[in-house]
Amino acid sequence: MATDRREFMIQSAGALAGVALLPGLEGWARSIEDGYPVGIIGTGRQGRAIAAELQKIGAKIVAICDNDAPRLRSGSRRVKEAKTYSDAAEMLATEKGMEAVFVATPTHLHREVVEAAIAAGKHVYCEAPLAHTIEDAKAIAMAARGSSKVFQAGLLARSNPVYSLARSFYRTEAFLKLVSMRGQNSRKDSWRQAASTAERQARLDWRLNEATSTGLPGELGTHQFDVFHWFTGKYPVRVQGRGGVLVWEDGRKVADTVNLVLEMEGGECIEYQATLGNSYGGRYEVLHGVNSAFRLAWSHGWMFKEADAATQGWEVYANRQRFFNDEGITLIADATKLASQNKLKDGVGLPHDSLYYGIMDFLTSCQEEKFPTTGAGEGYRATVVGIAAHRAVVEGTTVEISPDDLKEA
Amino acid sequence: MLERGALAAMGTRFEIIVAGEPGSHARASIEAALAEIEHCHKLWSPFSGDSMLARLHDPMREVVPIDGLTLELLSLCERLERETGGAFSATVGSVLASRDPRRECHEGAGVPEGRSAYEIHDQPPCVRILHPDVRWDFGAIAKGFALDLAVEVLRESGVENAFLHGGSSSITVLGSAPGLTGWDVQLPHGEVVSLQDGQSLGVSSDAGSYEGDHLIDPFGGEWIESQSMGCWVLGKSGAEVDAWATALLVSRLRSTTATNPGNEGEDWGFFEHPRSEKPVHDETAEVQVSSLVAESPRDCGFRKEI
Repeated sequence: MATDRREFMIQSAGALAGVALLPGLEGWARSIEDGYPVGIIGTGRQGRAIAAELQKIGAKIVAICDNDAPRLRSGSRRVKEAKTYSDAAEMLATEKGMEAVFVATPTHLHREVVEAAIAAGKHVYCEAPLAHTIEDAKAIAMAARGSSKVFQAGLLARSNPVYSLARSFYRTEAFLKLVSMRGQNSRKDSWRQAASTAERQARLDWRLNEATSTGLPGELGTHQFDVFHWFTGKYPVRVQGRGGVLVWEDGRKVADTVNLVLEMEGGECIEYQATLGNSYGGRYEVLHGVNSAFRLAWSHGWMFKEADAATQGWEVYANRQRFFNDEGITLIADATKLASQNKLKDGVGLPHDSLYYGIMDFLTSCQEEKFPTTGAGEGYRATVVGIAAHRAVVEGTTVEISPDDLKEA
Repeated sequence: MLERGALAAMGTRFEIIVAGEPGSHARASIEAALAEIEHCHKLWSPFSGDSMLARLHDPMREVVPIDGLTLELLSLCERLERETGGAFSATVGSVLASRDPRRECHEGAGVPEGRSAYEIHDQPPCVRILHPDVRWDFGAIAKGFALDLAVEVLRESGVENAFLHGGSSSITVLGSAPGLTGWDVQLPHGEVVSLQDGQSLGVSSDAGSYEGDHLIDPFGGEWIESQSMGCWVLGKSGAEVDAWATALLVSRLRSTTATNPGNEGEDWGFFEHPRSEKPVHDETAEVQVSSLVAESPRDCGFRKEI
């Protein structure tokens, strides 16, 4: 006779102890029973990634929507239980029991969908950047302000346990004072979409269309600029940009490689580089302080201490990794607890994708009716910076960002 | 004109070669197809705590909600286990764990439990676990399944001629190589097979493994030596030919009879090959893509590590 699985596990309580300490799993266990009803609008790669995380969490995806038939079919194959719609308005009008909506359409189509979802009384999670123009981003932020429901921008750093841990050190003597900031996003990916007809090709290639794209600074940089905004509590006052099509010479005008300098009011600068031509180093941000530097790479984070920095008590537990001449202390959420269980190595690297934590934060906010970690204001300001940085690349100039530009109201 | 892309996934190297398309369209199609393979890797990796497989093995759950693709794969595994008389089973994960320190191993969990250890439900998609020690390892069938998905993406993109392989032991093709009527591949014993549009080839052998313990006997839960024997299977589905190649080889080595997927010599066959004297990497073993070697320099494409 088969053993009851729960009973079996109660006998194996030792194995459970370690699992319970990992960030995010408690929330997973809680909400999987709830089957919180949600919908996804946009079932391209990002929409399908959202669906995969929702399925891990245990939310109930009641409906999916895409006006591109092949993408809708692909989404439906992954989420078999969901009703399918080709029209967002119809989905919002029909699915009365759907509490929340994830908006993962192309950036330039966010506004119409978000406004309709808010008008339908849904909680809304909107991918970042919020929009491809300041006007649309402002309209989204204003609609969110006027709603009694939760609005979360899909900027994931603020939900990431490793980034939260690093930020807690940022405010202490362990980091001391900001010196400089640097970020990069390197990948080998043409950004071009594949389609069998010219009409569909043009529709899917919105990121390569000058009229609809916010370029590498907007589509990729926005997420990383927000790391620096969040840590420092400041936004850039000007951005200088350069870029060009250095790799994918297929007739595109949107740069595949960009270099930026974003300057803050106190003179602190963010150096940022993004390319679609080489994947070395991937995506990360570095903050240099007087006593240490943080290197944050979404699933992992490290602290590199200066030789003259004081030793912290928790360092006796720390894991270390060698990077050529430097030694990084691995930033591990719940490190002290894990150390007491002799499971410190289990915590090296987050157990889930950073998208998981962003979605979990959103669903928790919806269920508990509290403010999300990344609201419309943060989303709006990061979008403004991303759009300004893209403009700087397109024009090859310095673009000023005034405090008024950053006010959504 | 050949465009090539590669991805390290599922413990091996996937490669897609597209012929006769404009460069940018071919590249975009390859990227979309590799994204499907990457998604499968994330779903079914035995080494990630974040995978769907990890959820299936989560000891806290009796009923595990699953995604649509995992439902399809599990249903296929169940059918193939039935059709092969048990010579193919995806529930050999506990045996693999007994030798691989990277995998979680439960004491006493040695014999695969097979179909009796779980139930699959499709509304909503979920798996009910009936035996606490059941451990899946999708291995070759997952590679074949991923290639099937990748082929669908290529077709939908309008690609007509392409060669796809995972670790060179799982192959699927579209159309033909430039100037040929198919895609020629050479099996380890030298025979050349011309794969036609939509055909898949699965090869199971321990070529490239000097330890000679490539296979698991699903009936007894033991590793078995292939005795320099291999099996190839041709068919319309990458997932099915990979499962059948394993099942037929297991049946031959155990001297049992499995229902065969077609005619011996035409649709499947056995071969003998010399044992490697030293360990070699997976991608150098199994088959040679003879029609491509001269035409496609290895550095003409792009690759991605995950």
